[in-house]
Amino acid sequence: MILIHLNNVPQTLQQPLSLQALLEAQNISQQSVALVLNEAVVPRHRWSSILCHHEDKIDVFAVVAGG
Amino acid sequence: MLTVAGVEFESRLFTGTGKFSSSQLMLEAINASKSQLVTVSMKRIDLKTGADDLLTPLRQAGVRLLPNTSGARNAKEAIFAAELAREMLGTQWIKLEIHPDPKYLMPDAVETLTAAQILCERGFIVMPYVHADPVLCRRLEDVGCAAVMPLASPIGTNQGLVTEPFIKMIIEQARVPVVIDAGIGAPSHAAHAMELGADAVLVNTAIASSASPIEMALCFRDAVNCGRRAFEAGLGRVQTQAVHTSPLTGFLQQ
Repeated sequence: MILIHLNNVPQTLQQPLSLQALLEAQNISQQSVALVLNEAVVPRHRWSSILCHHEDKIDVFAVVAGG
Repeated sequence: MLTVAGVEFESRLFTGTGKFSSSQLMLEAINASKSQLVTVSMKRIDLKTGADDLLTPLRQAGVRLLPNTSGARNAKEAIFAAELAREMLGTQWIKLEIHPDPKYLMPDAVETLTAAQILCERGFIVMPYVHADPVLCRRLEDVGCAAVMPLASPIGTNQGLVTEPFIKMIIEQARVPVVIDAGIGAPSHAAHAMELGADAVLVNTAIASSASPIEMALCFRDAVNCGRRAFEAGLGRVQTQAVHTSPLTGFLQQ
């Protein structure tokens, strides 16, 4: 079992998922988000090859209205 | 035609997307404004509610997106936000704003200059939101900013061109486009900024918080166009003494 912190919410994964699989499991549209792993922005092309590790801090950002 | 970093804009009205009562109204107002450069922010997704898809309709509207670094309190956070925006939106353009003070949202000049230099070195098209400080604007130009965005008055206050004397100095000195940002509360403020020779204005609150945002967007569109045309036509000199416009021969007596 792996414990991760996704947008500050603790989540348990039964098996190591790639970042891409994690987004899919959360039903997050991948087109319009950016992903931060342990405070570093992860380029989109690497999402499928990076696996979540225990205690990873993962943040998903999206565009919102602003001035 | 306005050119910023080699990109041409027919419209000199830039708009924000915040504070509209609905996304639909925001899109209709932007469409009415004819704005071609539109600011957006970024935020962590709420996993329970998901994220509103703002991007798809904005991209369909054909506008260029200008992500901002709102929420950043120092240069480090702003640089992180810019990297995030580049990854998310595939754009090098960034509205650099660093305002640690929540009461007046005054931009931090030192942190902004530090962040601007690093972001320019990393290839970003940097448009910094700053106080109307002519010296700072020159420094930002020197480190490679594509434009400068001095404030008219504090964000969202609708006070208009409180900083007018300094805006005039910035316009006089600038070698990059000057975009008047923040505090423009009425179409007349926007027209006045354009008459002074500003290259563009950025308006959000005044349109979004109007009772009729679409109508207000049309008013700002016309005001910006009118102000620019007046600037190009050339305004008359301001004088203290009257100068007659009609012959002064006292014809009734002669």
